[in-house]
Amino acid sequence: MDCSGRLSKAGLSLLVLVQMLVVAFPAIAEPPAGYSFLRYDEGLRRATDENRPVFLYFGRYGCGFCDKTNKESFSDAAVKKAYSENYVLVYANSESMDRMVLPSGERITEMQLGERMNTLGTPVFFFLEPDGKEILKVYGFQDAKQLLEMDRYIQGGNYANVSFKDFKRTH
Amino acid sequence: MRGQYFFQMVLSSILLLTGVCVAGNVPITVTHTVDKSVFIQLASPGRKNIAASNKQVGVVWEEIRNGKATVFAAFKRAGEPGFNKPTPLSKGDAYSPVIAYCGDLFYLSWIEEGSIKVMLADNGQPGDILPPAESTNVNELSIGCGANSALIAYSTGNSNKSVVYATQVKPNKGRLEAENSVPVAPVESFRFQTNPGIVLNKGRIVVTWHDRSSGTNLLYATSGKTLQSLSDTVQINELIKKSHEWGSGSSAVSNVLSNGPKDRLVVVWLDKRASRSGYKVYSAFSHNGGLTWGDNYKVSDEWGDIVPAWTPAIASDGNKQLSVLWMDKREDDNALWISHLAGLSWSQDKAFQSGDTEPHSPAIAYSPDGRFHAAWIQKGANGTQLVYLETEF
Repeated sequence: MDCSGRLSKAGLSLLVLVQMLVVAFPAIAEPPAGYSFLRYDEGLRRATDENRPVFLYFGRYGCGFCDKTNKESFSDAAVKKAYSENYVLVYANSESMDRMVLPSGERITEMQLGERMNTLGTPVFFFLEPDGKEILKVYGFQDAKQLLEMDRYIQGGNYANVSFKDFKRTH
Repeated sequence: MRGQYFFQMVLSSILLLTGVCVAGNVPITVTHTVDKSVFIQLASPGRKNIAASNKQVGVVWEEIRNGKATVFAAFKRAGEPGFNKPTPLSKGDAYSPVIAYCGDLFYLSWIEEGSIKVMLADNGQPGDILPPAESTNVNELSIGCGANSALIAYSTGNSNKSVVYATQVKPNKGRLEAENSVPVAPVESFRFQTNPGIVLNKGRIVVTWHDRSSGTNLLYATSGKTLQSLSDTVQINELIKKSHEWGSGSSAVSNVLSNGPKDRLVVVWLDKRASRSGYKVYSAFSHNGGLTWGDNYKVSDEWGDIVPAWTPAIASDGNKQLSVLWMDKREDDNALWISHLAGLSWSQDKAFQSGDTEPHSPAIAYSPDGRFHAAWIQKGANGTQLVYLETEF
């Protein structure tokens, strides 16, 4: 356990330079541009009011595959139309300590939500009933075709009778 | 080695099936009311929600009703069967309660309506409240022991800027006095400082925190003989970056900090090193009061690699014992797992608590006599309960 790692002044200067570059090219821990993503608690309330399913996207700062999904998949016009029209869109930062009040009256952080939903990594996408009950959970980068396939599975009500794995095999 | 792991799996399975803790003791309930509309939170940076002397143990927590929380404290004297009636500490909306046993005194602190409150608990009862200056818009709060004082680190700000400050609180002629707070790092370089920890080690005040200004959450430390002479910032976690598709690299969150045996300083955190795996429990050691830190060592064993770990807590008696407790679902259901520092390495994970009660959100402490104290939240018949267990290793 040798000691190491103290930043010299030159190192700190380099760090500041890197951070200036980061400000110019910020790391993505945000939902894709052009969509109306809500916080989890706000989304659940709206989903209940409108009786619509929830699409929940867990990301984090520094998540390269979240960035890739945002740029390559959510930029697709068909995806944007389907997801904007069919779901209440919810985004959660899996490392955020921001507190929110659930419909039950409980107050938790976004990271605690990730713990409860057992989010193994990011990105992870959930489809939820309006009351928050989980329908489908999918990990990792998804291209536009896969996102549209998931939409058909949910909107067609297929999840009541067949697993997503079997649905993909037969459609 | 396979036989060794197989034996451990069998032993762990037996413990899980029987739903008992390692030491066989039965947890007792701290909270008196169980109500489905009341939610209990045992959470704070550093998970400093429990502290113990040889004579008594104190626990602090939140009870949330309709989205608003009240902070409570309860104490149990050694040898008595249960805790006294919980005492509400806050009047306004409150969160992040912490407690520390420093120099024969129990210090309690929490955030109420965005400001810090500090008090001494005398004979198990809360004393006067002190609002340290400059503490507004406070989001997080942690506590540690100084030289006949309590050290407090807290973060203030919003999603655009967050700064960690530190202060020191000590009694003087029956009253608590607080030093002026100081920022622990330049906000020009570290714009999103969160989740502070604070401790006194080898005569130096050491503050740890996370910052994501580089694009991902990293773990840093600053230290000094006084709060006015804090050192340059040191990065503790090793950044794993594989390619541009992996983004800004691995992430370190939820650090917890403690002095350990032989005056070693130990920080433990959740580290996410790959997209397809969850957070693992990692550690690093400092031998010079936080000026420099050694390599990163994984605390949780290979059986924990298959699932994400959550809410690590750390405690030491400062003499022989240093333990880390966390929650993971390697056996599908919530279980609390513990690892002890054994020389220069960590022991294999042992099931500390499991079963149908779905334990989570642990906080731990050692009393100076080496007794181990743990509190956590579990499912009761009509809602969540805060429970406590005392044992020895």
